[in-house]
Amino acid sequence: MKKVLLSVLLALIVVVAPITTINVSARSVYSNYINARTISSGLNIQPTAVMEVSDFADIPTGAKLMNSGITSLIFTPDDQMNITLGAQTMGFSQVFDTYIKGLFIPVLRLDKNTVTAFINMMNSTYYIKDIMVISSDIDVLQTISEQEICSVVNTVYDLQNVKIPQNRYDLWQYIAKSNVTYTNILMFDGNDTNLAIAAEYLSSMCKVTWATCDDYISTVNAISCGVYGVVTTNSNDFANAMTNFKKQGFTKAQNVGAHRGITSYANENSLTAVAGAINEGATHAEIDIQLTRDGEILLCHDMVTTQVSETPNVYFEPTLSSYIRTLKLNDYSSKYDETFPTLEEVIDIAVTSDLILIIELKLEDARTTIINKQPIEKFLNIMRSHPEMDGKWFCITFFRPFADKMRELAPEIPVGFLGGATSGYELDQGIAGWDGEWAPIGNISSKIAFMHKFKTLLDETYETSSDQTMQTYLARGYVQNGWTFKDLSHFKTRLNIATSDVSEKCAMLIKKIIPTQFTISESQLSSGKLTVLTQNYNGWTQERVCDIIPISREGNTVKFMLYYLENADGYNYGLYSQLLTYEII
Amino acid sequence: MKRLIAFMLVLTAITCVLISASSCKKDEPIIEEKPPIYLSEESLTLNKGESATISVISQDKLDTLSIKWSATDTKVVSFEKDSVSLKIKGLLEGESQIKLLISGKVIDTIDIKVITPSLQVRLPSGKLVLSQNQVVTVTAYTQLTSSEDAKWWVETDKITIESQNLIARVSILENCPNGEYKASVTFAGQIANFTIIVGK
Repeated sequence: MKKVLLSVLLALIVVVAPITTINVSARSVYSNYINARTISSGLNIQPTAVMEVSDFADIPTGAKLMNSGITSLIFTPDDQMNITLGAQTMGFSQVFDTYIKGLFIPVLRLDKNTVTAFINMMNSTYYIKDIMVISSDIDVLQTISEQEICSVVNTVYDLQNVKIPQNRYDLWQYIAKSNVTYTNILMFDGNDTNLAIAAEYLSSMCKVTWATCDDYISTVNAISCGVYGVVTTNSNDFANAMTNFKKQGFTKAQNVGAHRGITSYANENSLTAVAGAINEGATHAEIDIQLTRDGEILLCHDMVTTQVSETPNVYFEPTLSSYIRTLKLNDYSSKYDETFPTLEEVIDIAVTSDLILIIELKLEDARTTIINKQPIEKFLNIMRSHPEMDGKWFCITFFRPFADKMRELAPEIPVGFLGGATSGYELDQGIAGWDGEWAPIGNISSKIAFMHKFKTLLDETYETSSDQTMQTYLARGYVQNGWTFKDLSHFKTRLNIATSDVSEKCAMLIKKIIPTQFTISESQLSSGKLTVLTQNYNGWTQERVCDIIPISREGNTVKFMLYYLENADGYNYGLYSQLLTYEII
Repeated sequence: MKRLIAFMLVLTAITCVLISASSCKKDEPIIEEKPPIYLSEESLTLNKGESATISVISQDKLDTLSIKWSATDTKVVSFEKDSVSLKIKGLLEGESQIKLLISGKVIDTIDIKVITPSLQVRLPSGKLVLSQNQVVTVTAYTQLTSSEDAKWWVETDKITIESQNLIARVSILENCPNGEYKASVTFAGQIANFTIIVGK
């Protein structure tokens, strides 16, 4: 009997032990987020340097790594997750342990044949929390976005083979698709002559532009176009290119949003305020919306009229719009004779310009009463009846019910996370706002996981994060927008969109350097200065004397950038031109 | 035969009398009968942002409390009633009909058409409210083209306007008295007016 029992026990051990062993040692987990690497320069927003690796020997190490500025490496695995470079083949986990861990963000180039292998790897053998995927196939990015295990994966949409259109709104279709897959980075060919158009527009819609560069000159060009990431094959190109950007400033004009429109000579959230934003050259106008009893969307920051109208204490939610629109806005002693505008009236003005609307979903702070009235459905009905506004607006909110509903009904629209408020609806339900998972911006790992879970963009006040933190988010595709500066101090920040109460102060500041002729004399070149046509934020053009930053010369053809430093109400504001090619006469 | 001739003569005479009678009637003023209560306009075309006032014309004294107004499309035109007049404002391009109701009965209607003017100053209320020493940007927009730049004008030299075609920088001088000042922009044969109000 004892022998029988012992045999059974031994048999059990033989059968069970391997299973237990496999489960215990099934998956390695790596969860550290490395800091983005930067090179000392004058750039407020430094692009992330990415290297597409063709040989293991090219991967920078030691001092070369520190000097290279490279943060991310792109590899192309096969369907067994092996990486073959030259004559060498290694499993990805070995590549990670040997070359990547603690040093770089891995970016894996996947297609339909390899995405399953990647998902299996993450599930069963190697779970890497800080990893990215790049693909030219949107379906691959869609697959990644649907996998729970890939909730930590930041993705890149490879559009190298897409010619960037002259009309920036023709890029909206790609931004829309990337929003559905929660992809924040779009990559283009760095030699595309319209690269600056993509860089400017994508950043205005809170996306990151990467550019592929094949040599030092194209790397300088890409950086000068204002991209937020350069992809090179040579580990020296980025650092060498960055030596040309020592002067403080931006490679494209910072986005400046008008908080509630222009309020120095108009009522906040009024039609004149929005028109003023366009007139003064703001790139964005932030507006707040409320819902009335009869389903009209009107502009107002608060859910009650008290702060802004001669008639106080009228709540939007229980009141007909026909009554609310008889009330006057109270600044300027009603000289404008304005009332609360409808969203449609704002759209009517906005479509006449390139202004982008940042629509804050206030909507009675998401109380239960408003949630039951389907405010997001009503809001989207209005926006969708105006296809001329496609690609010219996005949303921000404090409230999870609105973010969730936007994600459900309009996943193509970016939604920015403002802060971890608890909505009235959630209070009534006895649940924590945002599942109680809000994380401070300094906690990069938790914050990125949070934004992935709720599919929101990063949009928080700059002062709470350091420059290093900003660059680290940027490397993963998260720009940071910030709020309500009372002066022009946003020009010394790394903000992608600076929403300000005084955006009209930027009206006559430089926005673009736009030379109209491309010849230069030897004496001009050696003087280091050139007078060229420039354009201000409000569209006004004027000549400015810019510094010449020489890049290369071949015979009588010279390439250089121009740079202008402006005193912006006591703050330094520098701007680079794109890389220019001139003939010496 | 004689009877026939006599008959023809009488017929002719009667015809002449009738013709002269109708001719006499053409010289008399035609008095159209008006209803006892009606609106001052039958139809109106407004520019977007433009306001107009419609009056109720009544032969007898009206009980103003019994007057109500309604519009078929309040997105196109807004209205506010004040006694027997109605102030309307064009909001968005389109058409709307406004009805005058008295004691619940439709008495008269007015058809409103709101159009987009070919040249517009980007000031929805047509006004700009500024202080002394303030400098702002105003723009005009249009689908029209012209080989000549837009020309801006303001009725006082205490306000200066510098311009680059459709973009203008409006400066209120320190010694500009408070008040309302007419201004305009002209481009491609079209003119758009606006008002600068100094003194917030």
